[in-house]
Amino acid sequence: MICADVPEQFWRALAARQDAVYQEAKDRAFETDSWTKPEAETVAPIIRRALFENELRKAAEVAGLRSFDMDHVGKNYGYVLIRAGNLVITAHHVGGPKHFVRPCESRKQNASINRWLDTLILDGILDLPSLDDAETINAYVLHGIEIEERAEQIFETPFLQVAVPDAELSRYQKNYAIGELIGAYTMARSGSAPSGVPITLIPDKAKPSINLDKIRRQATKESERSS
Amino acid sequence: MIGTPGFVGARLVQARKARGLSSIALAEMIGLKSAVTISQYEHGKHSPPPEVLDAISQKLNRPRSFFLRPVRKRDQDGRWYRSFSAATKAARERAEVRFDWLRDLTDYLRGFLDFPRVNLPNVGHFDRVEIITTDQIEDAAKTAREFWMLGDGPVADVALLLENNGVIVSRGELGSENLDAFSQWPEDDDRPYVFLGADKGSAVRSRFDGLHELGHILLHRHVDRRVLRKSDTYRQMEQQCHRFALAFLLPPERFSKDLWSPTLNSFLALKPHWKVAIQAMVIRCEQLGILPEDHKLWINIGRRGWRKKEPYDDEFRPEMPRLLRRSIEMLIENGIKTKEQILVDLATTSPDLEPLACLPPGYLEWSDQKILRFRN
Repeated sequence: MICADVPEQFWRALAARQDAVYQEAKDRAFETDSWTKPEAETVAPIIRRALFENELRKAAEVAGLRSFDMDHVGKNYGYVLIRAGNLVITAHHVGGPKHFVRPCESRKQNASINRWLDTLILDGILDLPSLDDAETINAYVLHGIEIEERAEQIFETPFLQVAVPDAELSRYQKNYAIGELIGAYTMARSGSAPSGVPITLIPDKAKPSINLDKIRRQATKESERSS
Repeated sequence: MIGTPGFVGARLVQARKARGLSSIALAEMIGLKSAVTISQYEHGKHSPPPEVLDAISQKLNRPRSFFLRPVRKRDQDGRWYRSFSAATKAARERAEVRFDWLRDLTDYLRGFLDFPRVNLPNVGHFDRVEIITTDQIEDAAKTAREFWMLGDGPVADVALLLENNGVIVSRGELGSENLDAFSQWPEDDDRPYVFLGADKGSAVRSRFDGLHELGHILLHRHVDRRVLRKSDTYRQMEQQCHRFALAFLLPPERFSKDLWSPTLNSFLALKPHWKVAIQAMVIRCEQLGILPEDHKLWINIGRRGWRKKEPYDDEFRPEMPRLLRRSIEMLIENGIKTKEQILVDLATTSPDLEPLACLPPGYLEWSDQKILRFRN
């Protein structure tokens, strides 16, 4: 369903811009004389959110999808919602690749449309485009930075995932890394590989062949040696 | 004390170096008082008494017959080692012995079998390293792809490509992470050899190494071999082969079209398809001038901890050469030789021969040997 309803271009555009958006948010928050570090740490996530939401809208536009500027219940924040066929897509920053979104009323309302999925065994939502009874699904674009400590060093790795929460906002029914999802598009286009460039297969000709003359000569040599 | 008639000192040198041992260490292992005695054996001044030869044979895990077999005089010059300067002397010596044994094996197999004919493109005759330009290297990679009709997409199996076209390829651990691969087109042989180090275990690295060595074979075959001793020239040759490998792996037009954005996420998404390291893709983009000069990709690669190990590095299976394995299987399956005969003919042991021929461990152990090992 995701592959059928969302042009690949949409995901590629988001993946392409994530690093730049994060860097820009950091620069805007920290590279200024308007405030000091504590204020910068407060505004950095807000700027990052605003920039990412804007990217979401731009990516939708480029991919020919409709975007809507929505308000959270309580109208404390706005957010962007993308419609793509039967999919409703929203973006969320989370603390790590396995973290769940913080529940709030708007998210609960959006996710409640996934109730019909709870009755299905989701063996591959990427492969479900032709289901006649397919209803709307709320999918999340999850983004953030994974922080790992290895050999006493801190490593920060931005991640981007597409996940489908259950209706109760208790778990993800499906969760795909962006690379995996992009790969699925071209897997779906039979005969081509993840990036669309066909792989050059190498015929297997690395085979020796028996040379009877050589074998006879070897046999003669061996018999001469033994006699 | 009576020595062993026919003992060949050079074989002792080979076996000792293959195990990475110094003369002192070997002397201690076999209970000799001094390493001088080992040196005397190696230089042919004395030969070991039978009981000492047995001890040497056991400790170095080579059959007794190995030490009685003359060493074939071979072209020792002109081996191209990747990252040679960073490797230890012991690692280099071990690699050289491994290469000699590889040639022993192929000589033996060619006594019964024919290998695929050598079918390499002519990319130009270069007798000096300095005259090779970047454009010529790019052209050489393009010519090679055209010659083998590979198109401009990712190549499925680099090791197979080399073997199909007559190159002898072996892959195994060299005991040093600093020695990635080496190759040679010996003057006394009609085909080139490539040895791929398996110590880093990375499939994409191994593909790159295979094509780097192909670069030496195609570009540097006619270069005076004495220049290999000059570090500046050698470095230049290495750079040329890096460029060749990247140009071959990532043809400019197709790759730049496939890369939708020069960001780490994009490189990451392309890695499983092109089977090229993310860092190599970044270098290629720099070569092709498709990155801004002030890009921060290297900093971000460091931040993500990808300098030493990248995503997918553990997931791709390394390409395994198959020609030598198939050759040995063919001799056995067609009743030309038994496993035991092969080991006796080559005066070797299964733990040494199996990795060299990329055979599964234990393949060459015949039943009697297995029983003996079990009892041990």
